Amino acid sequence: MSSRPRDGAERLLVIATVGLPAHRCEWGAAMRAELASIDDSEARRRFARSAARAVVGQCLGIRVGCGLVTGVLVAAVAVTASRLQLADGGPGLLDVTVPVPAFLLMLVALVSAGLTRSFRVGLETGVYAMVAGFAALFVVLAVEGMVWMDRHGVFVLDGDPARGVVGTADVVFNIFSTGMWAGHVIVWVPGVLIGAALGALTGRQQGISGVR
Amino acid sequence: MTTTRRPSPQTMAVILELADQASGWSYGYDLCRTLELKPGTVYPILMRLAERGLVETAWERHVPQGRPARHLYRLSSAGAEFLAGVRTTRAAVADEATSTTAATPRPAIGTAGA
Repeated sequence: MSSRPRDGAERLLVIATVGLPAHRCEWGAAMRAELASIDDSEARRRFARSAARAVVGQCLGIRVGCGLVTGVLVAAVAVTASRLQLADGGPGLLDVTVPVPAFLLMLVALVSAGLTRSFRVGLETGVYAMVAGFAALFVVLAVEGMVWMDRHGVFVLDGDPARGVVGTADVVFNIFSTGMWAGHVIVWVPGVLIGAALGALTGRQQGISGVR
Repeated sequence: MTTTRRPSPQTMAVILELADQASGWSYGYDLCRTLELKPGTVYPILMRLAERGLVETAWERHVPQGRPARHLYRLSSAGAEFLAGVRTTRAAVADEATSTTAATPRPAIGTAGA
């Protein structure tokens, strides 16, 4: 294959097939080689679009499932931490909601990348899990935030007391209005990247030692 | 344990087309054009069939300059056996349906509700 993509169709297919799991690499190479033998530009575009859709759709259910499971786990962790601290209006959940989900995300990315020997699969699964985890965390914080404000007059994430009149929207969107979502993402994203990289590396090493 | 799911019409079309190839090997894109199926349908089918050992794959040996070797596909002996099995099952089902239809007396036209 030439190092430089010939047109948009080839670029699309290269992007769609790069970093496929080890057992799908040949499939990606076969489709790229087939595209190289098609001359008509419209036929090339059609081929690349259809093939790329098929690649992206592969194992989508497993990735979405991993994401949902992670979301449920993150929600469970946040609810448990909230309920344990609620009695004394403890320091807030920030110490839990940042590192624990980051560890879970790293684990999900590591396992999926390790099993498929693919950084890309680990990364994609981790991103799905991160989105689901964030959505689940937001729901828990919104509900628990109102309980904390009602009982102790503090915000659930950092345990800071409310200054002045605080509305329901302030409590629910506390994570966004204070920018604390950025703190979560800054720690969670490296968790996914490290997990995917370690998983892919471990999977490949095991694959190599398995061949020997 | 191997699962014996009934193949989809598209999968059967690919298997039948591969079985019809006198020369043996086929290209993925040619299969797409002949069967009028999209590559996004044909390639996952070929991949699954290859994983199940029903299709053999190989890379083109004599490659013209300027393009990479293409992937070739042909029905394996296991694939041929699978096709024969499907054909036998279908024939048996068709025979059974015919015999059932023939044995069941149909109401005469114009007599219903009389």
